Amino acid sequence: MAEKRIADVRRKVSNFLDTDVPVKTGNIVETQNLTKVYRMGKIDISALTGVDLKVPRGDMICLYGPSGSGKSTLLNLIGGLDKPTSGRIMVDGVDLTKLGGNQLAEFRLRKVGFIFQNYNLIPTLSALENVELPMIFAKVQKKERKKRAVEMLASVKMDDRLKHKPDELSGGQQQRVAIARALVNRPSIILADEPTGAIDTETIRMLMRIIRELNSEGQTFVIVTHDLLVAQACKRSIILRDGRIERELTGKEIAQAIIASGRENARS
Amino acid sequence: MSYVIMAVRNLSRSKLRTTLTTLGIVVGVSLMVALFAIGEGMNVRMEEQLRALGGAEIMIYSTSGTRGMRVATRGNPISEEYVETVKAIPGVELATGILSGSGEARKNQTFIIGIDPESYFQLMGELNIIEGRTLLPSDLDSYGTVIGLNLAEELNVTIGSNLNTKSWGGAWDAPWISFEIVGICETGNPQQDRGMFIHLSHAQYILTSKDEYGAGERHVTQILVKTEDPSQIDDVVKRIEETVPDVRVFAAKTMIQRIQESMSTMILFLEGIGSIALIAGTIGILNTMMMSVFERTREIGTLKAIGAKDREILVIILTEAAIIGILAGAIGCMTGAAGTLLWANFSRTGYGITSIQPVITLEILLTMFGIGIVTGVLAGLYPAWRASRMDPVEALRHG
Repeated sequence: MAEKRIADVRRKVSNFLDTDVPVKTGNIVETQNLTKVYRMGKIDISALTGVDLKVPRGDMICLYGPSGSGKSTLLNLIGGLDKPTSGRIMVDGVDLTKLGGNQLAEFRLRKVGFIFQNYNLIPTLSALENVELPMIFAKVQKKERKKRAVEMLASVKMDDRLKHKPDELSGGQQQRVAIARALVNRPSIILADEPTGAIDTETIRMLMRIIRELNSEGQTFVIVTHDLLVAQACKRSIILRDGRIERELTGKEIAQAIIASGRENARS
Repeated sequence: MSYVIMAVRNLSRSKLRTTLTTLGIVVGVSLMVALFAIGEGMNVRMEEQLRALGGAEIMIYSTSGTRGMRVATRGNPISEEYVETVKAIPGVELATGILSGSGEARKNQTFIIGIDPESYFQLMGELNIIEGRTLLPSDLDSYGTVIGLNLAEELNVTIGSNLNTKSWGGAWDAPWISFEIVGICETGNPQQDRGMFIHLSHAQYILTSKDEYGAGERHVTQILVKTEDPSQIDDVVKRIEETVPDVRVFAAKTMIQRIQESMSTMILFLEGIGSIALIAGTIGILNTMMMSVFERTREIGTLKAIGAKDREILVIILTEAAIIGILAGAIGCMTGAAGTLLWANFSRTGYGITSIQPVITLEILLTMFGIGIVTGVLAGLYPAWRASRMDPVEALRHG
């Protein structure tokens, strides 16, 4: 069953991207020797150095690390927002390094859902319209669009706030709308960049519960964070430092770190 | 929800700014509407004047006392004898003398046109009489006059009414005649439609006598000529110049050419003024759109992250600019038309340049509406292009 779905997705991908369908793998994300160098004036700054990352389908992985560790850069590369200096990124069977600007936009539209720290909802649009937006770009019919947007908002328990504008919603509510927006085009992977950065602990728990629920239904997540509560809620946590993958954090380490920081256990 | 709704929401985000931006184009468009309407009015006026020339192929004015087509009352008129002299010149088929000038009827200003009915109508064609009859040779003895429709309405007079008439601004003892209205005409020439057609000798008595006991000088202000062979007009002009002293002789076609030349210069000038106003408005839109795109950098980054292509960002921003253009075009056409009609209302009784009745045509309105939209879209092109080319990562990091 799962095999068939993957095959379907693959066919669709090759249809709209018109690229070769590569060797089937169980990994939704696979990077090889990924390097990103920024040029600041005359100085080259290495944001990522030789990163090899594999994210299996259905995983919920956390990229943990201090600021400047390259975790956001890695996320942007996986999401097709940025292009690597060298190396290869395969996402859901698509080699991103081979795509041009518009193809990357199409890739983001169909394959990726983004969740941001500042929610980044469009302030002039209602919750419902914000969720409809990706479907407008995907040319989904109006009726279908509205139906799916309501469904998605219901799945994050925001269906009672359809007509509200972002500034009439709390931070947690806005982030739930943003999650619905990320989900609505049925992406292969959801990428979240510090999704809880501006939210209180209670709301973080609620959001992570929603994300875990979605993950248990098979949705793959990659979450960038420096919040241990978020790391604890994920299946795996990877530490990045100075643009390299340092190692994987164990659950025990996270729990100890949380106790040391004086915060409550997120799973309670 | 569509791009249009998104654009409207964005524009209503800062209503004052949108209003002020729109105002820039509104001013430009309404100015252009007014200027084009005046230009059109000048065209209509020229056609009227050409029509007023009727069958006249050559006009003879005295060297002084005349200015273009307007004839002053004083100055140095032509002796009536020369009408016969001109008639005798080889190649001349018809000639008629006219004495015209400002008159006063029932305290109102009017335009007196003294003619010899027989030769005048033979040369110029009959008047368009809408009531009563035309001016006849017999009106010389019965003091009949045919007046223009506008004058009749202004004075509220009709066939059979009497009009005491003297020269405009004449003294209390200036010579006057009580005319009986025998006909009302509508020629389409504003001067004639506010004027009185009377016999030449009556006009001479009113306009050229020193006092009420005077007989009037036997003068005319212009002589109109029809030639036997239109291809020989230039030769006839030369012969008239050689025979009649102290006159200026114009062929109608040269006059038309000259009017058309000065007219096109004028219209070019008006279009220049309007274009400058529009360019200023365009820069206004450009400025506002640049600012609004900059302020929305992160939103544009977000749209790109969730899958908007460059072209879609371009369309969204251009839609906003186009809406400003449509609004400005529509409002500009309305205010321009309103202002022009107001001007027309004030200028109805004026003389000279202010007497030009602006004419608003559908073509002018549609053109200017179109120009409003095009201006908006053109001004939006660069900001929209900038927005579409933003790097999503940079844009998302923006404030």
